[in-house]
Amino acid sequence: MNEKETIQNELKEIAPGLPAGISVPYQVPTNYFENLSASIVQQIHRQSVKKQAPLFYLSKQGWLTVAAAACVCGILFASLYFFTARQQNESAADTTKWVKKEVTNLSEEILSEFIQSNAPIQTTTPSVAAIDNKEIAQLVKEIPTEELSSFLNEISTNTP
Amino acid sequence: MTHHSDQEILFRFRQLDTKEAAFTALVEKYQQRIYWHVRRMVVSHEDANDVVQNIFIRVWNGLEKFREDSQLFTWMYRIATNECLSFLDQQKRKLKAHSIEQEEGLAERIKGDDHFDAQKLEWKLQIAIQQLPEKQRLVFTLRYYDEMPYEQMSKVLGTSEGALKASYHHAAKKIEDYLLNH
Repeated sequence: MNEKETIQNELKEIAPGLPAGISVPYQVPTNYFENLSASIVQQIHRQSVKKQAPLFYLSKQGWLTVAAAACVCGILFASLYFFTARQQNESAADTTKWVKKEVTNLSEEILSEFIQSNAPIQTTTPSVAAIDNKEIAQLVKEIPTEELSSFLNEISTNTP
Repeated sequence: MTHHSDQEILFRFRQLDTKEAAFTALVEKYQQRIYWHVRRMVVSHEDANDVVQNIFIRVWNGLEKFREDSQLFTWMYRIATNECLSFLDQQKRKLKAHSIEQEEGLAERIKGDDHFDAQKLEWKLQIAIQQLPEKQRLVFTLRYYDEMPYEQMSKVLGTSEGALKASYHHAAKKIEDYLLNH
């Protein structure tokens, strides 16, 4: 007994009201099976091209996620920038505040003494006044007389 | 059309220069059986076409690793069945969002076919099949239409022969009841 007969006998036994061999009523478009293999092979080719050069397409949801991430980054950087700038301003303001406070603690006598004492400004570069006069005289002596007289002539011609 | 043997197809598929030709031969050999297996499950031609394309792409990707410990056709049927079930799962989720039962949705699709004739036995049988739970539907169509032996069906579905027999008996009884009452 072949499989077909086995199935028919089995069906007669369990459901005699269900006839065997009823066909499927669905239709298939004309030439569908003639073109199916070519269409599948075409799809496989497309798939292998995609595999060779992977492209990342973002869905609408994906774009929204990227945009949201960019916004968060922007906000973070802006906050960081403003926070640092504010801290710098605050430290300058703190110094001024400290000086003002210290000055108010000083007595008026000390302050007026400070203002009237015309203390020289100390600089690291030697001023002309600090050079010894003897040294200058020595230097001038070493300069030849001709050079000195030509220098004096130049000064007299340049002055209006 | 003469079909090549599975052995020959597999041998040619493993050679780079005959790979594509062997695959075309494989599709041509099995396309109708795979298509009708899928079509009976998903009903519409458009859906069946999508599922069939996916099945053969999976076959292309997996054929090189096919170890021949089962028949080529059994292996392809297993892929086809899994693809069908995942497609139906997706459909179920979509229909659930609109509060429609899958069986109801598939029956409506059959009634919407241009050639539908409520008086004809073959259409009645299709509607009766769609009333069955998914697993019973699979077992019934594999046995009734594809005339598949339980032993092979067991390899395709990964279920014991005893369970498949019971499932087929339940399905055939339910369909008989439907046909007698409609």
